[in-house]
Amino acid sequence: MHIVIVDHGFANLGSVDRMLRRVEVLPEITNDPDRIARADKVILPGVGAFDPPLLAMRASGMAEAVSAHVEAGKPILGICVGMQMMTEGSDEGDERGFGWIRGKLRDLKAEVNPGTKVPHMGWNVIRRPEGARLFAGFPDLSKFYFLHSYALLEGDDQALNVPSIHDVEFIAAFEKDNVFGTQFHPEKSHKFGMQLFSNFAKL
Amino acid sequence: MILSRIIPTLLLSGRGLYKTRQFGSPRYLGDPVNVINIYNEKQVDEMVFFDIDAHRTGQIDWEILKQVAGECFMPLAYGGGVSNVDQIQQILGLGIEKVSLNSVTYDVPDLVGEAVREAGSQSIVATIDYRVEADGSTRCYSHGGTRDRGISVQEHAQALVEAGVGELVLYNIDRDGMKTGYDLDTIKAVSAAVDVPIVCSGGVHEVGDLREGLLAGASACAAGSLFCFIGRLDAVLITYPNPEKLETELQGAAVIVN
Repeated sequence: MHIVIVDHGFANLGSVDRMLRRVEVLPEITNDPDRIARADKVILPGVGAFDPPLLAMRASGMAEAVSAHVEAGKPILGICVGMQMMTEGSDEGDERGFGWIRGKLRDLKAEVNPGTKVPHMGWNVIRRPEGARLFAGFPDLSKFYFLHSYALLEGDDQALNVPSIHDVEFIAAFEKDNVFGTQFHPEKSHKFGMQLFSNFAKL
Repeated sequence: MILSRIIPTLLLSGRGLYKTRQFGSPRYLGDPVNVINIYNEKQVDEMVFFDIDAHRTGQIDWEILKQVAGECFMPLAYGGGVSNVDQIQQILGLGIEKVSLNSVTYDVPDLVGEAVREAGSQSIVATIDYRVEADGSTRCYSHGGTRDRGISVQEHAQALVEAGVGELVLYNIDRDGMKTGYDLDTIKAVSAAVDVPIVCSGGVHEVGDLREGLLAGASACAAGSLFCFIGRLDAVLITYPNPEKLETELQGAAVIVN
């Protein structure tokens, strides 16, 4: 099985790469649309602001390759800003998201009570819905590491949504057919992250 | 809701990890990557990695930092020798979540605000090394505890928070490695005065001390000896309480609801 990590220049690939190796997956890191087109599975990471990775992917043909991958029904996992890019857009940026998931990221600061800290940074627990493939074998209330200032508050009703709470309820992860996304960082969530990557690899 | 964090502090000197006592008498623990791999297995919440030579050499060991960042499957903060925004960007670019500023906060106070504007307050931590004087007042030290800065922890903490740092590490020099328990008075005073998370450090002997630190107002507890020594003779054993045990021991103190 061929798993590709998309290198659009706005992500820390080191720990994603090493954690996959730890669960016995040898990924390919690439910015080449042709290599992405040949992948069985794609991982779309991302840190920082919303627009830069989208602009980079649209300028290079990576966006088209990833869209074709999704249309072909092959699995994709978005992490943090990579997950955010799967939606229709974000208050943070002007670019349109890929739109595989309905909804838009909102500025958490405008949603939470003034005493609640934004960015939402640290370990938090998620509620695991029944039947979530990415979370197979996880206990309910598993903990993951989060670092984000924008959040998807209302999930796509066609998706299986995994909620968490930071003063307000938000979507910590989703699964919709072949499209998987996590707002948290599995690559920084030690054994829970490893299990999640392992589940993705086994899909 | 954010869960509280229990954080091993790793001290880098040359190419090895050490544990100090009162910022001196370094004792060798092992190779950084090996130690980190042990912590990976043990589901550590977060790690703090300080290069204790960097304030003298003025050099950041990029090679080792890159190795450490790649091997670390948990959030990581780095401190040591950071003196400009370019370095901060470079460190964050390696996949390290937070950069800790210390000596530079006294030498170039303007850098703190600049760093926060460039990198965001969530990525900028300030570490305050301090001593408690005979009269109970506190005093900050920089450059590995060697320079008296003539300012109290409260004063310096206030200035740092105004400049926008996202988190403060309070490191009591005299308790470092001494297993006396945390300096709860200072933790209480500072956490009541500022609204950023406080990480307390210096003096932990047993898991109960972590609980005391959290109850005193810290959002996170750092410790060295607790996670690297075992027994009366302090044999080196890299360890971390299992998560269930930790949760039971910290019950009531372990969860902070925003």
